[in-house]
Amino acid sequence: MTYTLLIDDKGKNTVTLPASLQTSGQTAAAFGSLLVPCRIVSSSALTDCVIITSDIARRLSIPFAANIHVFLTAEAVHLGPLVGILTAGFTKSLHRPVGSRSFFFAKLLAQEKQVGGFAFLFGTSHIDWENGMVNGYFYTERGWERHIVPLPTVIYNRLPNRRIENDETFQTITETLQTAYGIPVFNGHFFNKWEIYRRLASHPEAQPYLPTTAAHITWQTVEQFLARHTEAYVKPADGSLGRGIYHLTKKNNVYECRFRDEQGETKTALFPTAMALWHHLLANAPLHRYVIQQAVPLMTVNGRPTDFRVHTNKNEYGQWQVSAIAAKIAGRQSITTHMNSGGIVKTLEEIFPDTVQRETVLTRLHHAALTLSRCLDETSETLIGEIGFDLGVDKQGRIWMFEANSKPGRSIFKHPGLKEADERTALLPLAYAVHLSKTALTEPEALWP
Amino acid sequence: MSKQRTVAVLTEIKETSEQTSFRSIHRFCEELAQYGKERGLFFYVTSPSLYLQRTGYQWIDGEWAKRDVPPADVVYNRLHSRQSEHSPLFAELLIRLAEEGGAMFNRRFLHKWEVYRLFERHEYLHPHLPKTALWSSEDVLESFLGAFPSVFLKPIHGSQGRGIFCLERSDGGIRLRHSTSASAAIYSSTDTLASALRRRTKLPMIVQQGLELRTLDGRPVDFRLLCHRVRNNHWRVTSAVARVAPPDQFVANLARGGELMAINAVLRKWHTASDAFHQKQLLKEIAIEAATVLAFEAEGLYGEFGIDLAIDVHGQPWIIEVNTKPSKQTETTAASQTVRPSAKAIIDYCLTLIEEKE
Repeated sequence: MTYTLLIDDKGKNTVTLPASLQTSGQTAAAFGSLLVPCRIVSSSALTDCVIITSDIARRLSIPFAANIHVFLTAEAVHLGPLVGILTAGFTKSLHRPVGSRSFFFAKLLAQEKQVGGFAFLFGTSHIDWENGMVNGYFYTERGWERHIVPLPTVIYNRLPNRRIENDETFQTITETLQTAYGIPVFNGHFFNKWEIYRRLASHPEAQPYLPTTAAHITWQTVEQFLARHTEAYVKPADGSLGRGIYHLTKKNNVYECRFRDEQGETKTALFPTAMALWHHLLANAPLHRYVIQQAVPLMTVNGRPTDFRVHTNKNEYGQWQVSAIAAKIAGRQSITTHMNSGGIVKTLEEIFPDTVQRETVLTRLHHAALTLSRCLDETSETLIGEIGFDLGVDKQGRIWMFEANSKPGRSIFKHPGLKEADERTALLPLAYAVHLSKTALTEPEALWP
Repeated sequence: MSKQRTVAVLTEIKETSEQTSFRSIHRFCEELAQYGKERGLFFYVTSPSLYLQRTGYQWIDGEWAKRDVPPADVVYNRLHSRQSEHSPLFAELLIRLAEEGGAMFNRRFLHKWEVYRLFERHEYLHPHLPKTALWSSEDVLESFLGAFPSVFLKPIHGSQGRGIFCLERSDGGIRLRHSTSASAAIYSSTDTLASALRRRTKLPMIVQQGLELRTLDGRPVDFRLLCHRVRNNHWRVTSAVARVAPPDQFVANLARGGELMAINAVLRKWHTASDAFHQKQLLKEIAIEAATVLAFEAEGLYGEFGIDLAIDVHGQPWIIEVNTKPSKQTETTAASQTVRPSAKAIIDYCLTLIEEKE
C-alpha cells in the first residue's frame, strides 16, 4: 500500500508513522542510499499518511511530497523507494533533457504517481561519487525539474543502444553501483539472439517453441538448413527493427535470397547453388555476427503472414505477467512483419472476430510467453523485468518463438486498441522496481545468491 | 479488375449558375484532386445532399464538373459548420457510408472543453496544459482570478480567435478586454464583471489560465502546427509557422490580422541556435503527442489536426487549442510547389486507410 508523505514545518527530527505500520525500535529514516538517525513515532491518528519534519526531508534530500511506500528494516524506516532510470544522450536543454526520447520518459515517469515512490532519470555523469548523490531529472506537474537526491534504491536500465551499453565506462559504473553500493540493476543488457537461443535450448520447457537456429554460419549450414526446412532467415545476432535480415528459400533447386536494400526496397536474387548464395551474402554482411533460423509457415490474415508481439513484465509481486499482445501483419512484398517495412498492427479482436478462436490463440500465446519468460529468467545472471517476444503461430496452431527483446520497442502501442496495454507496460517496470526495492532492503540475500 | 480506389471530400458547396465554390478550401481541393490523380485515385468533392444523390464534382481538364460518382472508400470531412454535422442529412450519410463499408475521418468538430478533458487524462501532458474549467459558476472565475495573474474566457465552440475575453487583475479591480473590439473596461468586483459578461455572451465558455507569453516587440506569438496521420497512430508535422498578434491585440489568429513568420526566425530572436533547435523540436513533439492522444481518445477516426501552441517567458511550451478543421492559410509553400504537403499527406493517409482494408 502507499502512503501520502507530508512534510511538517514545525517540530524537529521526527518521523510519524501510522500505528498500522508495526515498528520495532528503528532509530533512523532512510531515502535511497541516505540514512539519518531520528525519532520514529507511531500515531493511531494516522491511517494513510506519513509525516516527516522538514529538517528530515532536507537531510534526506527528499525533493517534494509524494505518495510513497514504507519499508521497515531492523534499523531504519525506508521512505520511497527512490528509483533511478539510467540512460544516456542528455542535452543541455532542461525542457528536452534527452532529446526526442524526452516524452517517452515523461510518460514513464508520469506513472510513478500511480505506483508510489520517486522515479527519476539520470546519466552516469550526473553522479557525484564523493558525496554519493545524483543530480537527477524529475518529471512533475510543472515539467522537467532537477533535484539532487541520494543514490537510488534500484536502477532500471534504459540505455538507448548496444554501443553505449558495451562502452567500458558504462560497464564499470553499473558494475560499481551493483557490487560496491549493492544497488540492483534490472534490464541490464540487450539480448543477443544466439545467447538467448542457447539458454532457452538448454531448458526442456522452452525447447518446443524454438525454431532450429545456428550460429557460425558456413555455406554448408545454409545448404543443410534449406535442404531440411526449404525456408530460412539469416539475421544479425545483435540486430533490431528487422534491419539486415535475409530471407532464403530453395525452390526447384534454385536458391532465392530476398532482402531490403538501403532504400527500403525488397530485392530478390537467385542462385544455382548454396555456395553461390553464400558468396553473395558474404559480400554484404559480416556473417560471423549472424544467426540462421528455420522459417516457419505463419498463419495469414488477408493472405499476409502474421506474427505476434507479446510483452511480459514482472509485476509488483515480482511475478511474470503478460502485459500486451498485438498481431503484426506483414506489408505487401515484405519479408518480415516489422512496421518499418510496411507491417501493420492489429488487435486480436480485429483479426479473430470469433471469440472461441481468439481465446484459443490467446491462451497458447500467454502460456508460451510466460513459460519462456520464466526460462529466460532462470538461466539469466542479471535481473530481467520485461521482455518483448516475437511469437509465431503456424498453420497447425503451434507456437514458435523468433525473438526475445529485453528493451522492446513501443511502436505497437500507437494502435488505439492497445491503450490499456500501453499504460500497463509503462506502469509495470516501476511496480517491479518497488518490489525489487523492498526485496533489496528487507531480504537482500534473495537477490545476491 | 477491382473497383478503383475512391476518395471524397465532404464540404459545403456553393453552387450558382455561373460557378461552383468550395469556399475556403476551393484551391486546396484542386491540389487534392491533382495529387489524387497522380496516386491513381478516383477523387471528388461532395456535400451531404450530393453524396446521397451519388453526385460529386470531379476535377477534369482544369475545371470542376458535376458527375455521377461511385461510393467513396474514404471520406475526408471538411464540413465547416457544426449545424451541418448535426443535420439529418449527415446522419443519413453516415448510415449510407457504414452500409457501403466506407470510412470517414475527422468525424466531427471537437470543442475546447472536450479536448481539454481528453488531454487531462494523460498526466505527462499536464505541464503543457493551461488549467481549464467550464465557466459553470462565478466561483470558478473567482478561483482562477485568485490563482493566475490573467484569465481567458473562450467560447467552447469558438474559432478564429472570435469572442475571447481576457481578464486581468489591476489596481482598480479587474480589467476586461475583448478579442474583437479594442475597448477595455475595469470592473470593481467579480460579481459585477460576471453579470456584465453574462449580458454579453450566452454561449458555453471555458475559463483558462492566462499565460505570460513571450512576445515580439510586445506582441504575443503563437505557433500553428499542422499534423497528419501517417498510419496506425503515427503522426507527423506537415507545416509549422509562427503567428504574431497585431499590435494591441491579445490573440495571434490570422483571421484577426495576425502576421505569419517562420518559426526559426522567431525562435532565433529569443534563443541561442542550440536552444532554438530544441524549442522547435519540442514544439513538434508536443504537437505530435497531442495529436496522438486525441486520435487515441476521441471517438471516430481523425487524420488531421491543427495544433496551436505558445511559449511562456520561462521557455515552457503550452497547448493553447486544437482545430479539427484547420485552416490551410498558414501553410507556406515554395513557389515551385503546386501541391501543398498537407494535400499530399491527406491523400497518402486515404490510401493507407484503403490499403489496410484490402
